[in-house]
Amino acid sequence: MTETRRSALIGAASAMTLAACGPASPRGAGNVVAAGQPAALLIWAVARDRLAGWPRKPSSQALAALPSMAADLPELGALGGGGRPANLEALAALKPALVIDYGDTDPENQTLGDRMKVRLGVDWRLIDGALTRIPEAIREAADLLDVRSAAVGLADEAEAVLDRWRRAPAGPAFYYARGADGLETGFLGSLATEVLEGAGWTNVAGDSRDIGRVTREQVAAWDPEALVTMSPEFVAAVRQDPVWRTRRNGQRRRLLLLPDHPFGWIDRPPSVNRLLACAWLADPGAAQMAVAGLTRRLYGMAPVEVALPQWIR
Amino acid sequence: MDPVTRVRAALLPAGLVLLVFAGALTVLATGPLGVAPDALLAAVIGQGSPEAELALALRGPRLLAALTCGAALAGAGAGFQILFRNPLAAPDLLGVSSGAGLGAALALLLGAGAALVQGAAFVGGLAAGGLAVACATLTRSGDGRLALILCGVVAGALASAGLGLVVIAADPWSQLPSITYWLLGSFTRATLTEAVGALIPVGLGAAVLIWLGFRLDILSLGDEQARSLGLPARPLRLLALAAAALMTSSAVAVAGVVGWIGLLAPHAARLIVGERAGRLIPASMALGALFALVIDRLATAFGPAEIPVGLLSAAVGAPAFLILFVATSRRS
Amino acid sequence: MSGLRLKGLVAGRGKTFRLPPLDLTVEPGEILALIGPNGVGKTTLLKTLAALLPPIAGAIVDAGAPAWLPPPGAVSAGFSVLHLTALGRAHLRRWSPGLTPDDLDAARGALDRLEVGDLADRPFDRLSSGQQQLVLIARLFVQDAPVCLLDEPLALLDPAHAQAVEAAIRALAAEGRVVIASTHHLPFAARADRVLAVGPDGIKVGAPAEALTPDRIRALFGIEVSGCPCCGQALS
Repeated sequence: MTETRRSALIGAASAMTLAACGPASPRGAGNVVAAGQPAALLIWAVARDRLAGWPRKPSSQALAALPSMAADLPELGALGGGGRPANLEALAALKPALVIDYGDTDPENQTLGDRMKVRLGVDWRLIDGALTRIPEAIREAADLLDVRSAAVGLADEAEAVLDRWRRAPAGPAFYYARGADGLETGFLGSLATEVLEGAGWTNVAGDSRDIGRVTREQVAAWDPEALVTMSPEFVAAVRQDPVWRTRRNGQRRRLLLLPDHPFGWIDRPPSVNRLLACAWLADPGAAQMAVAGLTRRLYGMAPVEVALPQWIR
Repeated sequence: MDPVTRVRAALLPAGLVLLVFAGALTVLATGPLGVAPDALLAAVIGQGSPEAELALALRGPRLLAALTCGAALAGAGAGFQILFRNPLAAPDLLGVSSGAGLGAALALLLGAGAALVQGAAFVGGLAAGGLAVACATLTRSGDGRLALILCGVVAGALASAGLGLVVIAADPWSQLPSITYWLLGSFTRATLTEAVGALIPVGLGAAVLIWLGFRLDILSLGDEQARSLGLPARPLRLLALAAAALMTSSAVAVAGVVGWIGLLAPHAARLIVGERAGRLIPASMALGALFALVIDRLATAFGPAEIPVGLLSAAVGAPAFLILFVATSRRS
Repeated sequence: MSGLRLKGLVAGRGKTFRLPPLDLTVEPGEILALIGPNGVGKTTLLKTLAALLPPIAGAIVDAGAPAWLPPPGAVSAGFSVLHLTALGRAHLRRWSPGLTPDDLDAARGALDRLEVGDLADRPFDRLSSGQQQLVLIARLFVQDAPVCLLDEPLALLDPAHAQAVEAAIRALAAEGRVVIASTHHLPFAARADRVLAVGPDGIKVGAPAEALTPDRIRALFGIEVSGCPCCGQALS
């Protein structure tokens, strides 16, 4: 309904206005602003005391798996696509030293960076967010944040993980079920499924690009060997709807639930968190130690219990 | 009535039902899972290959959802158009669609499962409609119809504003896409139980509207005429509104917000069967179901990604409405 | 059929507008013409008699269910004349889902009687005012109410249709119904059985001969007449 969407936009505009009248300046935070959630994760991994705030505050479940410093950081909003926009004036009031953007290096993002640099008067750096260039991204971020020596270990480990990931054994033909109803997916070559495809798993969703919606019948026609999801709600829905797990020849389809906390393993956001999936895919049977170590390095806390992907029965 | 008219009057409903049936069979028999029709037939009696059973299990609920949603919205739209004597009356007149959308969005925001989302949509729609009717009754204005329309606009606007707030609060990664796509409409979401479940309130509402039949015609003449002809105008009008709200809520709960069917189908039906409620409502429902089948086909005709049905219904419905409108105004 | 009895009926709207109390007995088969200047309350009185407005005081006694006809042009419907006429039987069909073929036959009979049977399948809105009025009176026949209240039934009608409508009204009354019709058409009032004149000096009921004298008309409308003010016909 266009009425609904129009009113939604009006509602959004008014709420933004209200939010703009808002917040106090944060305390104890760093002076580097992340342009989006992927950048926030990169900064957090490399030099978490320098992060000024979250573009989108992680859920309370996620914050429980992060050091307490994470909960104290304010929510600043995003600069550029994807999510609630930041209040530029409030940002400027923080007097940040640097803005880091981590993601696609296409011309669009570069012009955005140039524009924002002029508007905010702050230095803006765009780092290439490609999965295969994570080690370089870590080194570049470390340089910018003056923590080269401390981050060297992380960069090297990332390189090793990616190396093992490239040589991972081939995996099943899969369909990536995104969201609670599982009808949104990343098509072949999309950012969301890059991690799985690079490990030798075959994405059945062709004929389109990036993220899109499909029907259950389409999924049935593609007939993947396995469903991959990060959503426990989808797992619950599948439990109630056996059609999802029935293959064309009547056999049962496998279902893989990837961890989602504190951040998704292959997606949401597409940042350094994906290294965890790479570590697991490289050697699913013996990944516990690698994942635990990587979790501690990336997020700052050793997990009480290492969350691993589960094949749901 | 002369024999020709009598034959035509008898053939028309049969013809419409046949069309709907044919459309349903087409939807059932075609799809990406390329299963031969005889295999499907075998699957219907339980003796088919796993593939055919799968195809049936996938297409059946979708077909049912499309038929139910299309018929429900068309019937409710026809009821509103007769009751309010307004050719632009749509099922969302009382804010029911907006309320249902808000209910669903809230449920998705709180992370509820599919069944709960449907339930929330259903309740939200009825709540919005109830709010509109309650406010209109409070005004105690003579005919009540203008008050109903105004209060319906208010209820719908409140729901839309609420929806805007939900949209802002939603997580753009995990929740917002779900909410957006839910609102844009889809026939493929419902499971068999949900689709069959929606049939109950829709059937009930339709039965009430069809039973009301000539009483709706009288109500359309105005309260004074209605009371003069011996009808309890207010209770009957409330009954009609409740039935229409029930049907609209169910349709939105099962398929999301699909517009234009409720506006277009009654207009087309009017050209075929005339103005009487007793014939207009069933004919609208049949045409609405047909329209839903058409856009269901179109939704998956352009690649694996499904085009949301709400968008298609507008893209197809609005031009169709314009053509109809031009055709009818040329006539008169 | 029963007649109509009013005991001290006070018609009005809200606190600001009320008519004087009215005591009246109307026999079955009587035609009562209701005359008075614009705005004096004729429509209010008719609607009160039709149970569409609550009386402020007093009561309507021994009346059957009333039927009310609004002025020409007030009824608009897109469906066929036959269906509209048959709707007169709605009060008999409490629970059934539709009108019966009997109802349609009764409607057709009433339309034929008023010589508009050939209009049966046409949409009501496409008819002229005069034809619509005849159809609505046919519906009154179908409805068979003992009391018929008509608001300015002859307004906007050409002489031919006015004559036909007047004949139809007489037929209504001839079958034993009470017919009360408000009108500005004084010759019609002159041919009624009694005239109910609502004026600034109260409500007076009487035979047309005494109710329509030039003195009374002057007192009621404030004008001098020798014939009907609207069409010039001589008052009989």
